Amino acid sequence: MQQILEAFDGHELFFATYYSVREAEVRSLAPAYFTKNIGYNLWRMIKAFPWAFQILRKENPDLVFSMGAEIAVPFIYLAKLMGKKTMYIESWCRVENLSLAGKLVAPVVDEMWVQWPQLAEGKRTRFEGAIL
Amino acid sequence: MILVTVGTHTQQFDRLVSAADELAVLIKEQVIIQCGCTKALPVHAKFERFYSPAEMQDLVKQARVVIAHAGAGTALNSLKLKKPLVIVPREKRFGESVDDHQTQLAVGLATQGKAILVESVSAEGLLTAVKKADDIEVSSTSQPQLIQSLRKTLRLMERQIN
Repeated sequence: MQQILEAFDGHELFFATYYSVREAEVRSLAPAYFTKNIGYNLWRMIKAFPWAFQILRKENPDLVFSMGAEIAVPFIYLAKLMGKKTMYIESWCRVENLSLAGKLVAPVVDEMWVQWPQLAEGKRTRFEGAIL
Repeated sequence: MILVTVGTHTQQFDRLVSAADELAVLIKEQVIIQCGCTKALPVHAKFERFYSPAEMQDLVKQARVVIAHAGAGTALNSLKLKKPLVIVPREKRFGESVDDHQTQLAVGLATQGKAILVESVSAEGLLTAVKKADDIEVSSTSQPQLIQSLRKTLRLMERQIN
């Protein structure tokens, strides 16, 4: 994500992400909301939906952008329902197959890029280079 | 100086940390280990669990070679700073990661000739990989195409929204 941020120069940003040792660093870049790592925890995924909804209602962004992981799912689905634009870039570390988050958002997201050519699949997922 | 880093991931990577600690005994060159959420702390090498982003940048800049888990952020940093990269994927079967996606990145980079994939995670295995890393040429990159595409799509979206 850090590598991608410069593409958003000139736009107002806020973050929604997981708690980590880099919390202070994230806050120094833009206002931020934090939650616990969802991982494969179904209950946390379910709770993430009302959390994401509150944030989207309050901040009312024009665009929701994510590079995963699981946190992308509630935000992108809710953003779509709320009529917002959505973008997803699959992590550079996914080489041979999409992450679960990537697979879940692919049907609804407006724009989706992958970073290795072998992952690109027709119109749905584009390969236009990588972050390195 | 050889920098060994396991990233900020919340699972242990004792396999790499202990091999790196043994490496510190095997060679004269200084070995510094960022050991993250590892259970058994190094006894020979200088280490910290975590360094601040600025400290990590400095360490990567100072390092002659970086040995890293195959995490996207870590690998990217080293490659951007044009450091020879030796890569060790975390594996699910050892409780080091939730799945084996790190292996994909490790193999992908090794195939592109951008990193050396470690065959055996031991002091000798690391040493062999470090020697091979000396031969890698890390090429420079201009502004990545993906960022240009992203900017272009953002501009198009802005026009649609306004």
